[in-house]
Amino acid sequence: MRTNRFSVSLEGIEAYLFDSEAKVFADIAADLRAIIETPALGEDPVRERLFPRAYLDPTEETAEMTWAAFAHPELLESRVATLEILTRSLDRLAPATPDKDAGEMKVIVLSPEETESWLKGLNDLRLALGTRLNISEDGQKGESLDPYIALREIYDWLTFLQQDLLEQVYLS
Amino acid sequence: MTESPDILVDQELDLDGLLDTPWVVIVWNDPVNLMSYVVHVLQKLFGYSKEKATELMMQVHEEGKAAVVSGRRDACETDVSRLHAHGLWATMQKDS
Repeated sequence: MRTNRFSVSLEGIEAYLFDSEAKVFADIAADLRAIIETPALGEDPVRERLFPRAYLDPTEETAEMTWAAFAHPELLESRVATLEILTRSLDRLAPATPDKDAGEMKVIVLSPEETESWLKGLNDLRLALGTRLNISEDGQKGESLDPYIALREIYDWLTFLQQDLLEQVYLS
Repeated sequence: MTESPDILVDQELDLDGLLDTPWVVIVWNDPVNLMSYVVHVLQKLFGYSKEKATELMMQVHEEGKAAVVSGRRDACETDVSRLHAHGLWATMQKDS
């Protein structure tokens, strides 16, 4: 069975997923959307990571506020659009033909625009989970508490998908 | 209306450009972003060669940060926004 989850074909970029993975994917995309669309009650590290400051210099606070008032709503809109494109593309998952050696995995053919949304969406999801898990170094464990084990598995799976997408499509 | 507001805005921007100190956009090291992804984003946003983008990414990785582009304040604000939209951790400061 194929190990790569992405490949370039004449029809477009093929993405291969199990149904169970597509479900997890759609669920965490919906979770992230809820987090970024709901006004924060106090500080939220995920929100801070996804909507960082432009100026570190405290004497530039006025410029920071002016910039953020314009940039953050735009950034929110772009993140939501990316997650929406990603989620909508999952609805097209269909059985692969036997020559694809996909086993039980299903396939979607992605347009270049959708592929870019997958790449950015995978990155946003990893940033959100990585922040929740307190990941502090490449490959370092981060939180090892029970409730985080499932999240850590999802994080590692998203990392594998993003790495594969970069290698098979963007760097080939 | 006798004057186009666009012309006024353009003149203001030009004046700003002449007086403004150069600014620089910094990308900071991040434990989540993949090295290959950072190279891809720097190539895509700034049109850098793979070699230049890789060099900048390695500087971020090893030194904790790198100046990736410089220019006027408004241009740098736009570039910071574009980097944030791609998940990179970027800030801007006056070029020293």
